[in-house]
Amino acid sequence: MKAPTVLVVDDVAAIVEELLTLMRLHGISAVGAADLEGALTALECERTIRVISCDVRLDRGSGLDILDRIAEHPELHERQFQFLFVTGDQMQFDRLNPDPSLAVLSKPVQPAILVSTLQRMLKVAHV
Amino acid sequence: MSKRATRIATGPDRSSSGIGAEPPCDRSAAKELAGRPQSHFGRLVRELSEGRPAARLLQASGPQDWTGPSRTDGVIAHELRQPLFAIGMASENLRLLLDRDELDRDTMRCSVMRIAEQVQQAQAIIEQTLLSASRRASAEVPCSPHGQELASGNEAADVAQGIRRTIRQFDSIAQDRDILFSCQLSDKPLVADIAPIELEQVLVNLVRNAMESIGERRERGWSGHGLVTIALHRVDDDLLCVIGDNGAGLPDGYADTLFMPFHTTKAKGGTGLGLHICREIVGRSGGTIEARPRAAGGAEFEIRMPVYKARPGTREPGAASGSEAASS
Repeated sequence: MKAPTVLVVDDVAAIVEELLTLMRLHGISAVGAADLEGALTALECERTIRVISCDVRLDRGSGLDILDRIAEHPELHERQFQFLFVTGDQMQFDRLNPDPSLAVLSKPVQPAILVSTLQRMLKVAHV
Repeated sequence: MSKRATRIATGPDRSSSGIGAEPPCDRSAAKELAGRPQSHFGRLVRELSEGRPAARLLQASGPQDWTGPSRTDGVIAHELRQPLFAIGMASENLRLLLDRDELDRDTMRCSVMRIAEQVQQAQAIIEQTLLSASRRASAEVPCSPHGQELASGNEAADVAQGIRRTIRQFDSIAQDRDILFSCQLSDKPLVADIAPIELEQVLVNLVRNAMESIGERRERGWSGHGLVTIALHRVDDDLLCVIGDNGAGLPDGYADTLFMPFHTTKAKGGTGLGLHICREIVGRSGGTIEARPRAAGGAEFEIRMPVYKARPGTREPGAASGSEAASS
């Protein structure tokens, strides 16, 4: 059975590339996307994705919209995902966040914290 | 900004003794300043001791909530987090790669280049921010060396002339890129209440964006002739300048984000400050700038500015003895 995968969503290509390298070096299976459309395509194609790490501020719209997009998707809404949001503005996130239980980390995230958070979420997703 | 804080910067002791003079001891104002974020207070103290017009800085800062970061501070902090995040990841990746028995030099090289590139990006953000703040400070409140506010600035610009100068700057590039300029300008000078250099900054930004948008449309497979249109006319007491293009058009949700600082739709480069700065400059002149989709495809930017009204003792741009003021 293939290991669960992380989907990394960020409109800054440099960040996605470095995150994918970080995941690889820690033995974590990961794919990247630059926007919500790319994220949905990745989710449709890669059924092992269990954890979604998404930047809150994307080029076109809010990363939080991914919650609604998945809920409204005819197929994706039936799958279970864990969400980790990454924000550069904690105060704005708190204002916009529809669900206080959502996991969030503030940029610049310490790599060790990001990795341990994702590993923990992957363990939960794998159960 | 409170009057008490302003008095510290413009007190009589300082003005009579010159540089380095101790400001008058205003304990209440000092206490107020002391409660402010240390870095800002420290800078004000340094500016005062150097005899620089700190009042300009104080006044240009505008009313701020000193219990927390200003909106601009928050935006700058947010944007600087992006390159810092990338640098943090890249350096961690380098560390992990160095610990391996076999060195993956290609990946390591990528991480090193990433760090250098993101440092440059952070520098560009800082430079653009400082430039914008400097222009804002110098244009908004003209002050004497002792910080006393002068009569408001009386610069004005012939907008048609500014448009012609801008087009000349881009002429050869436009020819290389098969982009045509089409202008509808008045023969009479139409003068706006804006400094010529700032008008040119706005026009250059908008024309450059128009040309880049045409380039983006071509990258998506379009092979038509590029067109940038510029129309200028007077409507009552306002000047209306509309700059249009047949480029890639405006992104979805543009109304909320297009003029936000550090928001860029460019795939490569760009700090995302251009349109934000344009809006700030035009706003300081009492005008507005709006974007909308162009009916024939592409985008349009409409700048509306009040017609310049000459103040006593000032001369309009291009005015020679015997010529009429455009605003009369």
